[in-house]
Amino acid sequence: MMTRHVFGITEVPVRLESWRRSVMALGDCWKQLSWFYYQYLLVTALYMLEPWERTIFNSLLISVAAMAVYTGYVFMPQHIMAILHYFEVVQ
Amino acid sequence: MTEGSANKPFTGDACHRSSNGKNATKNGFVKSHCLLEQPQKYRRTKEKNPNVTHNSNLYKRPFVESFEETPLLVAVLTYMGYGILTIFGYLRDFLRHWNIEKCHVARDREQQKDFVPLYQDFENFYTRNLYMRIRDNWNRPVCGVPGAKMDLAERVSYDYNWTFKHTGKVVKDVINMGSYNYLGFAENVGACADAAVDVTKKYGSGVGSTRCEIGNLDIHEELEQLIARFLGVESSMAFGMGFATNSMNIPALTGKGCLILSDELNHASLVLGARLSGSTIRVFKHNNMQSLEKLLRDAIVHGQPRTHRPWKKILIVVEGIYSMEGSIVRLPEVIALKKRYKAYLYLDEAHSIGALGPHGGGVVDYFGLDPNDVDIMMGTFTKSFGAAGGYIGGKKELIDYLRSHSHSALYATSMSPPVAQQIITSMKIIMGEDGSTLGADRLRQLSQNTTYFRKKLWDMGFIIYGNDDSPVVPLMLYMPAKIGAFGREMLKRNIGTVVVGFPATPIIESRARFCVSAAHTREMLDIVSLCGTHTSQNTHFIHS
Repeated sequence: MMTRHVFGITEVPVRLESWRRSVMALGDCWKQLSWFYYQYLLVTALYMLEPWERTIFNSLLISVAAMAVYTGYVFMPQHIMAILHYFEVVQ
Repeated sequence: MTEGSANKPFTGDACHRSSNGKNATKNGFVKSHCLLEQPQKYRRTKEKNPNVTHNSNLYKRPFVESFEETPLLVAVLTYMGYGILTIFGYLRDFLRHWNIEKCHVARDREQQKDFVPLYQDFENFYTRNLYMRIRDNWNRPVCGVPGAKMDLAERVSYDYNWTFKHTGKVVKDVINMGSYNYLGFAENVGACADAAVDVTKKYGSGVGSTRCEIGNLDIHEELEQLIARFLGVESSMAFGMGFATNSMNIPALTGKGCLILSDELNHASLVLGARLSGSTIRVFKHNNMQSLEKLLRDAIVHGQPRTHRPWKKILIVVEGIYSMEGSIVRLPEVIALKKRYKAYLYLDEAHSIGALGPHGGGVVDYFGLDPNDVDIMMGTFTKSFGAAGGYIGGKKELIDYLRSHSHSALYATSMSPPVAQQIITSMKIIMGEDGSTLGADRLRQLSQNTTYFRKKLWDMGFIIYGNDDSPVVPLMLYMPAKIGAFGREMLKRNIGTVVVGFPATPIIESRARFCVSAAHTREMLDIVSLCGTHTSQNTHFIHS
């Protein structure tokens, strides 16, 4: 709950309008996402690289991930039918 | 590397402790009576504290050290991070080689392109591609006394750390957690500074000669007598540089036909001195007494490599506190081994003198042992005394021999007079001879600060290495990007720390090293641990 300091000491609950609350939720979401991006940069050591190197690595990663997703999308029906056929759920 | 070597069960030759007078022999191994109790083979007990000492009858107080294993996920991610950096390093080297990118670093000359390449080894690759990227965390210029708080000159780089420009601003009152200022003698006011100023007015600041020629001042003699009294040894000698004390005196003590048994993690000065001496060097696992005993037994039984003659002398080289691990040497066990196997002991108390022990006497004082048991006590004045230089203490014959045979005494300039006076004043304060309780207060403050800081960091869940009583506190970071991130984030919060990576530490065990000082107040330590928590929420340290 949002609070506000009155006379510097006591905390008084603040009533927020609904649009203000949704904007703040978006702000929190953005902060959380940027924290996750920062963690990703640290773990993969991209934090130490220059911006163009980060661009290269990110585009490689995204293209590989996109290709994997697309392949899954194309072949998933066939794979699922093959599994069901193997377990003799469907002829 | 991921496991503390001190707690690995010893799986070398079978050494059974004899019991009931019967000597057990197994598989034809020579029956032997190992001095130190061996942890039994294949024991898989899940002890609460696996690092408890196995020979606790030699210790008067609990010896608690911890070196937590690297978690597997962290190790994998760290290797992955280094792999990505290596790939990009190769890419950048390729661009530099084909002149697509400007090369700031040294290269072979055009005329020497067909020669053996000079800059292609891993060390140069690492420096060019990994170290340079986070170079702004090191060599920060300090403009003032590096006491509990210091001032840093602000630097900025527009070409990713290849060159720096000073902005002209000075970052004031940065809490200094990196200086080896254990007793807080790095100050420009007080009795030490005044005495140094008076001595400069009397002697000047240069000496202009070596100890052997005409550089032997009476202040040096006074200093040496004081050091001998402080340590409890017969005689001592002081040198102008701590590194040179080790590297120049070990060659004078041992030579060909001698054996040096040195700890895995000994300092570069000890390694250099051992190599310069020309003796055979054998390395035992860090602080692992079973490994040391095995080496001693092998040395005595088998002698020199081809001729099997007995070794002329066996010198065990250990340090008091290991500055990268924060561990304290198991001195009672080492002395027991040395006495049993008739070896000599060289103890390097660079970090422990003045910082450990109820009277500041170092590791020997901390364990309550007799200083005459240690053959050669070496130490430096850089850390606890706020000066520069090193000393060696021991028997009178040894020191008289060193006075005429040590390279440092013969060729190196002797200690500068104000530095010598700083040591004299600070040593007198520590011993309490100046009439005040300042020394005792500082020693007590240091041990309180150490306990408080270690407990605070431990409670927050960080992985801390080392002994509970050592003022050197390494905080594990592991991943290469976190080395740079931690250093920069702490500087943004006005705290100066030292972050260490390869090659000073194993490649996946990079760390931030805090040096607790008696000059730190409790508030400063609170601020540091709070900022550590904030930074950990940002950089997500490893929690145990």
